[in-house]
Amino acid sequence: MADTLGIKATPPGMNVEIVNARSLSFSSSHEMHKIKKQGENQPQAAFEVFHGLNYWPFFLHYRDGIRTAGQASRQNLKTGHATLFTYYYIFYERSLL
Amino acid sequence: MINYGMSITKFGKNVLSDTDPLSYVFTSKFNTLKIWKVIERPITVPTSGIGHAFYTHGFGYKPAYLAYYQLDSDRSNNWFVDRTAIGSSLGNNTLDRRASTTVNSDTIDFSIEDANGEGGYLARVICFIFVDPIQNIFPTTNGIGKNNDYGIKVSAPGIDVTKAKTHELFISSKYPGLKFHMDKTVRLTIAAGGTYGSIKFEHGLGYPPAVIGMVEDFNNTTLHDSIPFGRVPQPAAESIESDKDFITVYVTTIVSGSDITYTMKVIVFKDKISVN
Repeated sequence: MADTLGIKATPPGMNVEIVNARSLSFSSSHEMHKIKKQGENQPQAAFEVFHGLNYWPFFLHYRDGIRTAGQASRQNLKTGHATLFTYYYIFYERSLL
Repeated sequence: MINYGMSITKFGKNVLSDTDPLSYVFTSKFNTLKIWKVIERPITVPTSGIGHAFYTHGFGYKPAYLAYYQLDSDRSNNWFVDRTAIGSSLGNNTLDRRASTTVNSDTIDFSIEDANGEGGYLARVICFIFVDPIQNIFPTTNGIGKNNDYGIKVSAPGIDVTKAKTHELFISSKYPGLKFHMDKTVRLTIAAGGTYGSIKFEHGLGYPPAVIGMVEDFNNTTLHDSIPFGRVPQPAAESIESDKDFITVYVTTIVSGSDITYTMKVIVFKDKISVN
């Protein structure tokens, strides 16, 4: 184990006392990405979603089921497509400072 | 301050009074991505056309995913992020080796092509499939269905945790989350007339870890794009490769007229790119 402090949980069938850090369900020693906002946009070109964090967040962006770039400003996520649905997860965690 | 559920702050932060979400290791107030399963599929890359592999998840909705592709038969445990477009020699700017993933409500389609005709080998894809949907779903959708009745679970606000479907949980000890290992900001300058470059750093894990990355848009620094970014006809492309020792970031400049510096940030997770 990486350490023995804090709260740790494993998936079923694993011994929390001997499992590697990477196999833990969660651990208070390792930060998890916290989701600020998740959503779906119907086809609409140049659509922007307001996140309001005032910094650049990490995000995942999918267009019609394919992971694509998307673009985040300090206040918005540029998403949207003229003919395809788009989907996103915006995290609290910062991208570049 | 978060006055209900389960919260753990980082060292030195007061869990009773801190209002900054970034001060928290995790908190049940905010959802996290939960790994349903890590799957591996072989893909035969043809000398012409596109090679596919499919996986049936059967959720009835499109789940979030992160896929990693082995794109070279000589690099058996090196993994490129999904939607990579890169030169066959892992350096030139032809962007002819391409991987892509499409998720549907019941299946995932993984594909690789080599437009340079250098296929004819067996590649692999490993994909983290998350419980969490990317699309809006109807309340009647069962998804994975009822969860097991042990371990730690926290449901979304307004959902009875004893009746919650799996995708209605914010935290479940049955499903691992992605655990932060390190982040690294890297800068790479492609000189005028140049076409590609790469930069790498050590992660110290001893196995290939899951990664995600962002890049400052070189045309407009007020915007940040997620990596992988770009393929023809866009003016640049970036990709990330993960192996047991290093994370390597590749940049390909398709239209190069002057020196361009790319600033990128990579997050490395503890989670291994492996089905084991």
